[in-house]
Amino acid sequence: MDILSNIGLGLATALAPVNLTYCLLGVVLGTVVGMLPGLGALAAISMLLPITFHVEPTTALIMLAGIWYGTAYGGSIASILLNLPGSTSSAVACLDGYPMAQQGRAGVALLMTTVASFIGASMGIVLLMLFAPLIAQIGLGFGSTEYFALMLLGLVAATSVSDGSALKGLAMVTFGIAAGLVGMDVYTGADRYTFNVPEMADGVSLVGLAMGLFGVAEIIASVRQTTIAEIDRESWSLRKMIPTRDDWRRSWLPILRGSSIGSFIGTLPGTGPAIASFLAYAVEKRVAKDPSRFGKGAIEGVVSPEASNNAADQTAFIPTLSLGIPGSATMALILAALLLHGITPGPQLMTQEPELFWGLVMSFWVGNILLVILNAPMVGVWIRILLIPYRFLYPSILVFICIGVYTVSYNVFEVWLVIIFGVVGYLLRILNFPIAPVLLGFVLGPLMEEHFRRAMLISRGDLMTFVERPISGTVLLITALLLVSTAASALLRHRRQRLVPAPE
Amino acid sequence: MKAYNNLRNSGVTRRVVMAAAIGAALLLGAGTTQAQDKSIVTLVVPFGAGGGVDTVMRAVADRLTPVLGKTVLVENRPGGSTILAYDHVARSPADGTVFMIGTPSMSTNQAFKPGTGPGDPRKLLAPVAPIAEQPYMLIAGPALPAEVKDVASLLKWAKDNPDTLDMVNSGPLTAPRLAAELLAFRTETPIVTISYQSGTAGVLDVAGGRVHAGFTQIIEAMPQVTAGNLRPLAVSSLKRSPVFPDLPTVSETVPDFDVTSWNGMFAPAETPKAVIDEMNAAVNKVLQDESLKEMFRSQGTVFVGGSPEDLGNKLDSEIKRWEDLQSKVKLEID
Amino acid sequence: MHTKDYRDIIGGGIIILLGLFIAAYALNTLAIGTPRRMGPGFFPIGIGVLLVCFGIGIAVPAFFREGTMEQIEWRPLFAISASLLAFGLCVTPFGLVPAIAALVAVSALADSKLTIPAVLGLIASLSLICYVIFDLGLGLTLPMLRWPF
Repeated sequence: MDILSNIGLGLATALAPVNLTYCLLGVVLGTVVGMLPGLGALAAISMLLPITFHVEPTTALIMLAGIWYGTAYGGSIASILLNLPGSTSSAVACLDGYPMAQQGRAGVALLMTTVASFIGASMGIVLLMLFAPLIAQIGLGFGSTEYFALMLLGLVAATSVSDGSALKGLAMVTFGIAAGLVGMDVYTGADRYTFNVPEMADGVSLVGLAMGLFGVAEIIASVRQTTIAEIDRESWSLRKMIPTRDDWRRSWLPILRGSSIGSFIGTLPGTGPAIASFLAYAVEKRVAKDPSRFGKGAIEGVVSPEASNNAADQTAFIPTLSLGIPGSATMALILAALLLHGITPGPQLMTQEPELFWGLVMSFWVGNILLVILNAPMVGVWIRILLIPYRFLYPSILVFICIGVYTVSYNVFEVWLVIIFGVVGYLLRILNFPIAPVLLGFVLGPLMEEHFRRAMLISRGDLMTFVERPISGTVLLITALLLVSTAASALLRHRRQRLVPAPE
Repeated sequence: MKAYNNLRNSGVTRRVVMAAAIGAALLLGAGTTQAQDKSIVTLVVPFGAGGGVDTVMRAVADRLTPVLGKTVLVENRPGGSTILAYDHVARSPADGTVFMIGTPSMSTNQAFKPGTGPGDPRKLLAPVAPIAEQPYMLIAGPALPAEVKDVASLLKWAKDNPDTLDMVNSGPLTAPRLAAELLAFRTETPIVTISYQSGTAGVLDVAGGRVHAGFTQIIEAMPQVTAGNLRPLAVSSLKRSPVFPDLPTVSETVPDFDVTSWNGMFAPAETPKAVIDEMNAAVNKVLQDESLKEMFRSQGTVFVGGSPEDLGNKLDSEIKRWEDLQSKVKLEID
Repeated sequence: MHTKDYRDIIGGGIIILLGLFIAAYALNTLAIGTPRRMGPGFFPIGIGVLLVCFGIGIAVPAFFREGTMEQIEWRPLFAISASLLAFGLCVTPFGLVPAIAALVAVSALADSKLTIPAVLGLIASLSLICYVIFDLGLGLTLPMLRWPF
């Protein structure tokens, strides 16, 4: 069977009225869930999993997948408008999206993220269609050594995420890694920093940490600053919502770069869209002619990470479907839905279940088009959230955060975590520490430790394993070059500043 | 007062007040229906929704409802390697409204980390009925030469190449890790155990040729087995699996070797015997259901059934076996 | 303007203390292991040492420059934290609606602009919205109201 007839079969499946309905249902639900802080795809999919008992497997999967990639569209809305990530992967969208909103360019930011999300997702889908088995084979070649090298590259590249003092950024990455230490050790089962609280044995939850540091801390800081909602009335006129030619010119390359980064990261099990969006942001800031614009409303810093996390959302299906290896807890649920119907994922899935595979892939197109159709006109509605006086808004946000984190495991402990990290996040703001690197360290740190220790265990304590293996050796070489070039350019800038007195 | 007047002038107030009226009415209605109800039985599953155990138990709970004449609801309480769920059930009322699903973690936690959690499950819980058992599959990957075809040749290879054999597992306190340690101890073979966050991550490393072998859930290994990246060597249960009758057991080479992933239903310790017997009968009736067996056949799940004593004995013998292992080999577990 | 940059002195100091605590905890309670089989304490000690280094790097230069420091807004800090605490204490025994009520009422103390009728209205509308989204829409098993007695 050639690709065209496969596409035809897939389209016929995806456009069947039942599947179309469930797809629409999935993406709408995904958008809503993504927008609500604290509530993520994981919660929504686990709640809806029982539905899959009652419908066809393809239909069920189309809906669950719709929730998964729909959350990526919804997540950026809260980030941009309220400086509050709707989902962890959209935390990066806060960095430049919120400044854009403050400048009255919320409409532009939202519209451009919708476009970026669509392009990113499309790129991921094309890869999924053409190269799924091949990519899956490459994924099989990635072991702990390679992962460690890759994470190190990620951390080094991302030290530029923070603006201001590099030392403070590094300190915050390390603080994030430290928060990730909490819980049961992967190798020995020893409890670390749990202080005999059984809930701590599983570690600090990403949702609790992100909602505290970003959401609650933001609210504490802005409750008394009444200026926050006073936005120029002009900015909701239709004309102000349409991106300018300059916006497009600045955006297209970052969108493509973000999509490529996301597509790659998504195929690696265990990494996920959050890392993809951070890396995309780091890369943009590094290649930018004027990195100082970042953090102050640079559109590149919004569109690239959004393209990246949407691309990663789509390519995450590659290891799940063609290796049977779910890359995240959410993907594990989608895998469970397949298994419940007696379908075994694996390299043979594409040939044995072409209707399911191609129907699902084609439904991704349909779903993403539906998301654009839904989201673009809604931009005008969403920015009206900014019109609600903050005194009504902040208790509402707190309620959603609480319900979101509480329902992660129906345990009040999550709420306590949010309080702790809210206070910590507020103090960090007062002390002028950047917050985004904490999240990055928290996500990457435990993975780095796990992979480093495993690589050492397999190599019997030989550090050379990192250099000897071709993929990790190459990645480490790139990391070293990056470090050298950063140091060199910093030196150069320093010298130039000495020659030409800076305009103060 | 000035602020109040400002509010009155905004459209927001009118809408808020209207919504308040509707909301109050609706909530009163909703609230009363949520009162506690003795005709609801909660079945606590110590994992998140959608996992292997959860899906089996949801299917069982579905079929229990008509047999018992009570609504059986599954409640997911994941975390702390099943300790959070156990702690919750141990402190729940012993009136037949709360039951939980026990797993091998119950015995491994007690044997290796006796201080954590509420205490000895043999004292704080009453066994109700054994439900299901799944053997683990011993898999070998491309890192092992082709001559390794079964347990005996694997052990021989490991002895010929000392300090070489690595085996994956799904966590330091999981049955697959302990199965490998038990195998190493019983056969005096050097085996290095390597833990992962999940079973599938370990399978990937075996299939990729970075780690030699490991005990894994059948469902995790099957995609790579059918793709030809992995070869199954044996199953870990005492008897051969009805799903793979041609696959030998580890016990055919290492007598009495029996490590499985089992699930049984427990109740709080003081639950009246009549309640336990009623539930035991219902569970055993449900387990006869052919559609249930068929649904989980491909995962290698066997629905065992039996008396409360069977489950109690199973838990007791497992705890004793792991305590024995720990006293002899002193595993690196804090 | 202070004569020294107290903001970074305090910030660096906190980072140093955190690093010391992490390293001390690891040294005292966790096994270090060997490079081949690293114990649970290996990585934390490294993290602790790194934090101390970064903390010193942040704090020391701050002694030699002038700086400013933002004031902590104590009232919102306490009110918002207390409101989340109230939610957490109410939600399990009493259900969602009382928890929402407690949260909104306490959080209103953060800022004096909310009047009592506005608070009541907000509680009612949020309860309704949450009922529609979480109970009807998503089917969460989260009781709206519960009698603990």
